Amino acid sequence: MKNDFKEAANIRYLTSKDIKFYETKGGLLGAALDGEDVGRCDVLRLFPLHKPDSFLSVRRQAQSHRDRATELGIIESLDSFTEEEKALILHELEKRYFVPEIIKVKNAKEEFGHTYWEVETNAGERSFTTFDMSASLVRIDANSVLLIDVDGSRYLIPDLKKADDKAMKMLDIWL
Amino acid sequence: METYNLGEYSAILRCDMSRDSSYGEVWLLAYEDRLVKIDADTGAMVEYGYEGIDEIRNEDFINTGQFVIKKEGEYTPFAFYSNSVGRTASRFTMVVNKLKDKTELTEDDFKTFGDDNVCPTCGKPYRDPRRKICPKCMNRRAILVRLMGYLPKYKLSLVFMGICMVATALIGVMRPYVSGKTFYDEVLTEGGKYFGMVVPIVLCLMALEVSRLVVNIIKERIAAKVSANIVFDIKSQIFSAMQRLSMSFFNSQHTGSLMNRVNNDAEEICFTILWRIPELIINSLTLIGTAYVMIMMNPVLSVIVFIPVPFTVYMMKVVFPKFRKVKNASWQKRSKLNSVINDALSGIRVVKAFGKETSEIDRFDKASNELYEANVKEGIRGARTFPVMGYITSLGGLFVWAVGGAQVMNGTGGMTFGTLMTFVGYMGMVLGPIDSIVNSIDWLTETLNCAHRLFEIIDRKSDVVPSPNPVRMEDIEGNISLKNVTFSYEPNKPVLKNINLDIKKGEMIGLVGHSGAGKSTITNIITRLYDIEEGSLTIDGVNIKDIHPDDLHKRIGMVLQETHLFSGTIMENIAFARPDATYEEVVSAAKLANAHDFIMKLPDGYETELGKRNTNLSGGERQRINIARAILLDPRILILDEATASVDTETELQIQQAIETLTKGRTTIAIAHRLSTLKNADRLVVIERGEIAEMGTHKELEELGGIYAGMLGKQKEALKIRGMDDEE
Repeated sequence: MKNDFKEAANIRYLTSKDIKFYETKGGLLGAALDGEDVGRCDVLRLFPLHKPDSFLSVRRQAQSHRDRATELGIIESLDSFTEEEKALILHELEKRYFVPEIIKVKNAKEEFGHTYWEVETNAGERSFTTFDMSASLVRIDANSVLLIDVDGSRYLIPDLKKADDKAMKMLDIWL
Repeated sequence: METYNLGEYSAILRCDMSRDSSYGEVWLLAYEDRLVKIDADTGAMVEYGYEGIDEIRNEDFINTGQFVIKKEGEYTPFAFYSNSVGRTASRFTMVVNKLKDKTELTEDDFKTFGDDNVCPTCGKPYRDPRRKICPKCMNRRAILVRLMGYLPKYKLSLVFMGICMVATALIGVMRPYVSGKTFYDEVLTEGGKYFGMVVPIVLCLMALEVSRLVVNIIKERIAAKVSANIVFDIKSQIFSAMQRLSMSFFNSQHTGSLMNRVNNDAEEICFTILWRIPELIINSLTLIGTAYVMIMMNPVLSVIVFIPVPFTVYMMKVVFPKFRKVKNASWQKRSKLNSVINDALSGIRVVKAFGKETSEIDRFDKASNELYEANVKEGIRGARTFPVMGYITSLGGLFVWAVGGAQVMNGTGGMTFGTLMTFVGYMGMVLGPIDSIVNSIDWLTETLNCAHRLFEIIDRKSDVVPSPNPVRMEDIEGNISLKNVTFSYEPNKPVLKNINLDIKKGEMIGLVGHSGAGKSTITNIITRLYDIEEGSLTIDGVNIKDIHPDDLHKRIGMVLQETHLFSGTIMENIAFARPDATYEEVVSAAKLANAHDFIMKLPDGYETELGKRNTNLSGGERQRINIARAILLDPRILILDEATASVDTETELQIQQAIETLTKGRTTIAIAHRLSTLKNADRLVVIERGEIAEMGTHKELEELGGIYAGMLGKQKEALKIRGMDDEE
């Protein structure tokens, strides 16, 4: 009786036997479920911070305004899929969950409760503004944090030990 | 770099990403027949003709988004942007699609492209679009001047305060002089002007002390009185500004947090005006006075007195912030520990039910340990910082003793023992004022920030502007007409689309639909909590914007799901909209609302003070007081928004009765999820995604077999499960 609720939830876990992924003509992710083409799909992470490449929700896109996106199933592990499929899925994930890593803080200045950052990221240079540091910092683990700016964009500081003085000066008391 | 002739485009958008995962600069230009993409970094240009394109849309991700073209059923991404462009991106998409479909563009389509997100002074976009401040252009002096605008009312008190401040500074400078130079050189030294007059000089010093005390007491008394008045002025100005504002102001999340801070801000400002600024003035005057006297006496020694100044400034600016950081860290650990305790105690039932006491104890231990470590760190840092600072200050003192002492011995520079003692006295008076002047930058910034937040509210214009020539309508009959009404709370997200609805006087309309369909929005625009953007809304043929607001509100009554009662008596609450109502009128209204009987059970009857002990009314009782309030207003138009949603079936029946009395002969618009509540409606209007989907009587709609029939079926089924039958 112990795991009855798992059955009740009736979640479909997908492997390469159930679903095949392909690249659409527009360069996006398409899929065929049980041999039937479902067209364009989205892949979403269930645990984006700690399990980025497993527990992925595969969703068929809404076909019209009145339609809602439906979940086709969950992929627990990408292991069973071909290299091409994996590359496609990972590219799709990277695009959706794009978070630049801060390499260097060129300038950080606090004024009127807002902090103005000028940073170099692995995706290029960027300036952004954070407001209310206590609400803008998400700690991922002992060494890495996410900064969330006023527009809701996220920036990753992958290793606090390697972070430069300017960044630490702003973050120190909040950590 | 290529040069393009861009010609006449309709809209332009700067995207801040060159590919899906790197920043860059790409421009999109929307023309009447095509879309053009130019990559500013490479100069590459791509054109997309509208022909054959089904749709252009933008899809938002977490940090970014993409523009996608749908052509022959295939989606192709063609441009990317980050969240900072996101808002404008959806607006741009709308314009492009309108161009593609050859729909006429209106001025509204360009709303968010334009000026409202750009600082009018420097032309740069606001760093935080929700808070329209450009830190670079913020005019600090203007804010300060405006703050000072609160002062002239209290001119006389302030002049007195000023006199007191100058007197305090003067006495402060005089004291060391008298106790030093005069005492040693003139009283204790043979041949001095007051040789041997020890007692008079001590009395003189005492008099100085006493007068300083008296002057201070007077100053503080004046300041206390004026500060209370100024806080009152600021708060009442803000409160009236907030009451004047339209609903949209209160709904925006950002202003919610603004309002919470109003109280603190007003007090902070006042504290600055009346305590910190005077303190700063006194300190500056003292410093100038002291420096002047010292230089007059002995310029060389004066320079030595100021030697430790750079060190203290360095300490204040560099060492202290570090210490503050440590302090702040331990403060944060403390609040974390508090939240752990709070969590565990307020959730004690859950903790115990799941047998998780041990893990809660562990959590506490961990937080407690962190606090302990932070405290130790703070202690160590403190033990290091403060003695060092004290040492540097006393070191400066030693210099004065050494150089001054040598001068006294050699008799150089006209140096006397008294002068030296005066210098020692001044020594301690120089560093304090300098500290406070250096610190003033911090609080000044904070105060300006507070002031800006307050002025933001005071200056905010209401979206619902009263007409300059309002039409007086003593008698509203209650004919309501909506023609092609479109409305949105946020740009580009219409909540109502093209609504056409004629309601005759005395008619009862039931609005039906799923949550978020736009039902409450219709009542919001009829009561003019919001103004519509497109289409027309008339009452008895007069545009609602032209009707005098007093007449409109006198003739529209509302009973809402949230039953707000104000503090005060039941009588006052019923008479809220008509304070001039007689006792008889109030009682009749309560009687009709089925409220009279429960009111009579209360010991103080109609004079029961709400919110006091033992006067907790139930949801149904509160609702009936609300209904009595609406009955007393005797409105021509009545709005019932889920009036019975939060009460049990028994109470609902009573309220239903009360409502039936209320709706007779009035134009009524009722919203209810429980469809049985609307059985008396003359017509039902089904709203679906902001549009009117079905309209007709209960019977007609049931036979139509559409959305309404579906909802009816589902509710019947749900009631059957609960063992109830809706058909009476």
